[in-house]
Amino acid sequence: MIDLRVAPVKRGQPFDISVNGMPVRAYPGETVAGVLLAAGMNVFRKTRETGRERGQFCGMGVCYDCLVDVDGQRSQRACMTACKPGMTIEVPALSKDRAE
Amino acid sequence: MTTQQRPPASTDVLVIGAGPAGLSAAALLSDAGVNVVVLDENARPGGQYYRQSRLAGSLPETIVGPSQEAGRDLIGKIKADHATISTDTLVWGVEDSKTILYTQGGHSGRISAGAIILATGAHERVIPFPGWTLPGVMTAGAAQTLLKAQGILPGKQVVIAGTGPFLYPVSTQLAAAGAELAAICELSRDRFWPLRVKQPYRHFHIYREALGYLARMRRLGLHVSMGTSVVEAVGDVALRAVVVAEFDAAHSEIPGTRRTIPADTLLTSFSFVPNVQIARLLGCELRWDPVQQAHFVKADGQLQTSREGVYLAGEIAGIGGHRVAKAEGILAAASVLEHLGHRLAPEAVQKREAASRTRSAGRQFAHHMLKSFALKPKIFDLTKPDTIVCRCESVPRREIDYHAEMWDGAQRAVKQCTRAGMGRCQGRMCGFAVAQLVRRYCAAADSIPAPDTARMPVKPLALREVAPWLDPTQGGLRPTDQTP
Ligand SMILES: Cc1cc2nc3c(=O)[nH]c(=O)nc-3n(C[C@H](O)[C@H](O)[C@H](O)COP(=O)(O)OP(=O)(O)OC[C@H]3O[C@@H](n4cnc5c(N)ncnc54)[C@H](O)[C@@H]3O)c2cc1C
Ligand code: FES
Repeated sequence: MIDLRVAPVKRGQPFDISVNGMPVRAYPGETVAGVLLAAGMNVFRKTRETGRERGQFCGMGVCYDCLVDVDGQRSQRACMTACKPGMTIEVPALSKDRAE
Repeated sequence: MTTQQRPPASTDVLVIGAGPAGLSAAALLSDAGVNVVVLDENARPGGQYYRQSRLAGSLPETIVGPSQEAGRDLIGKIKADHATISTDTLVWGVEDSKTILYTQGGHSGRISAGAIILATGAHERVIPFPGWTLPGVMTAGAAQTLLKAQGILPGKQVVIAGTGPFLYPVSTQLAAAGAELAAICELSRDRFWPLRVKQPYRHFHIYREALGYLARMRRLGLHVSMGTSVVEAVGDVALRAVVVAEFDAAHSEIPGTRRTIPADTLLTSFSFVPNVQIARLLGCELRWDPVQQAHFVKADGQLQTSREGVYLAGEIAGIGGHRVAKAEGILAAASVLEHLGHRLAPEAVQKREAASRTRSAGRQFAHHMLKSFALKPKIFDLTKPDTIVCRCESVPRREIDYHAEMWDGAQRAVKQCTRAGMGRCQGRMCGFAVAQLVRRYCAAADSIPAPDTARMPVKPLALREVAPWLDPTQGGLRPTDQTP
C-alpha cells in the first residue's frame, strides 16, 4: 500500500471513506484530494473535450481540475472538500466511460 | 475568537481574505474595539504564507519552517470579543459598495459593513508546456499546501521547475519531509540579483531568511540548476518523466541540452497572479503592472481604492511577499479606523509607523526581485501549437493563434471564438498565457490587455446558492453595473 503521509504529525482517529466502492483510510481534516493522493491515486477524471486525464493541479480551489462526485453531488472540488466518516466518493476516472 | 461560524448580517469592518494582510488588519481593528468580520474560502485562517494545518496537529518547524507558528501567533492576537473569522466562506458577489454576498455550507447570505478591506491575495501563475495537464503535474503551491495543511507529499520523485525565490521554501520543505527532489530548475541564470539591490541595509530580514533557506538546502544536499526549465511532461495516463533543457538569458531554449528525468511529480512556479475579481465587482480601478504583466488594484497613500470606504492590503496591490502583506494590513486597518472617525491609540500610531517603513522597504525589494525574474517573451515558445492553453475548455495554442491573427490581437474576440478563459476557473489559470499569446498579434507592441470582466458568481456555485439573486428577465444574475 502506498502512503505518502509524512510521519511526525498528530492525525487523530482514522476512519474510512468509500472511493468507487472501495474503503480508503482518511484522517480528520484531510481533503478528498489529500486522501486520494496519499494513497497514490492522482488521476481523478477525464475531460469531456479530449478524454484526457486530469488530477489535482492548483490544490487551492482555483483551477477546477480536481472534480469528483461527493455523496452523489457531481463535480465537487476534491482539494477543497473535507472528508467525513462514511463519505462516498466517485472518482470519475475510475468509472468506465465517464468524462467531466 | 470564533471561526467557521456564520457571519452576522452587518459589522463595522469586513475583511475579505484571512492571509497575512487580512489577519493583521483584523488584529489591529479588534484591538481598537471595532467589530470586524473576516471571511475566507479556506478551512483555516492563514492564507498562503501562514497556511495552517487542517489536522489534529501540525508538522514540526524543522519541516515547514517558521511560517505556521508566526500565523498562529497573529491569529492569537485577534481579540475574540470583537472579531469573527468565518472560514469555508466564499465571497462570490457584491450587492453594492457596502454589501457583499457569500456562501457557506451551501447557503448564501449577505453582509453589510461600514468599511471593507480587500485582502484576497494571489494564486500561482502558470505557463503551458506539452504535457502540463497530466496528473502528477501541479503548481508548487499545490504541493506546499498539501504538505503544510495535511502532512502529505504529492509524490515520491519530484521535479520543481519555474522561476523566483518561491522555489526555495517549497523544495526545502518537501525535501525535509522526505520527498526525493530529482531536480530543481530555475529558469533565470542570474545568481547575483540580490547583490544589486539598492540600499541593501534596508533588507536585513529578507537576506537573513534567504540565507536560512540556502543553509537548509545545503544541509539537505539540494542543488539548483540555473538557466534550466521544464520543456515537456511525459506520460500516458499520469506523469512518468520530465524533460528539461537549458535556457539562455532571453529565455530561449539552448539546442542540444535536453535531458529526461524520471519523476511522478512535477511542480511549477512562475510567480503569482492577484485575485482581483471582488475588487472588480466593487468597481475598484485597476493599474497595469508592466513587470508582472498583470492588473493589480489601485490604491492611494491610505490604501483606499478608488471606491470610498473600500481599502486593500497585500498581494492584490502588488506582489510583495508576506512581510509587505502583514504591514499593509496594519496600514489599511489604521486608515479604516480614521475613516470611521476613531482616534488611533499611541501604540497603533507606532505600529503604523513601523509598518510603513517595512512596507516601503519591502515593496522596493520586491520590485527589484520581480524585475530580476521577469519572464521574457521567448518563454512562450514552450507552448507548442497543440499544447492545451486553457485547461477548462481544452483549447490548444493553435486555435488561439488562429483567432488572434484574425482579430488583430483583440483579447475579447479571441476568447469568445475559442472559449479560452471562459470555463470553470474563469480564466484564473490561463488568463496570463492567453493574454501574452494574443497580444503578439496587436499592431501596437506595447498594448495593454483589457482586464477580464468580473462576473458573478466569481466561482461556479450550485443554483440554490445563487437562486435569490437570479433575475429571470436577464437570464442570469442581476448585473452590477459598477465596473469602470
Ligand atoms: C502558493 C503560494 C505560496 C507562497 N509562499 C510564499 C512564501 O513562502 N513567502 C512569501 O513571502 N510569500 C509567499 N507567497 C506570496 C504570498 O501570497 C504572500 O506572501 C502572502 O501570503 C500574501 O498575503 P495576503 O494576505 O496578501 O494573501 P494570501 O495569503 O493569498 O491570502 C488571501 C486569502 O484570501 C482568500 N480569498 C481570496 N478570494 C476570496 C473570496 N472571493 N472569498 C473568500 N476568501 C477569499 C484566500 O482563500 C486566501 O486565504 C506565496 C503565494 C502563493 C500563492
Ligand atoms: S486542484 Fe485546482 S481546484 Fe482543486
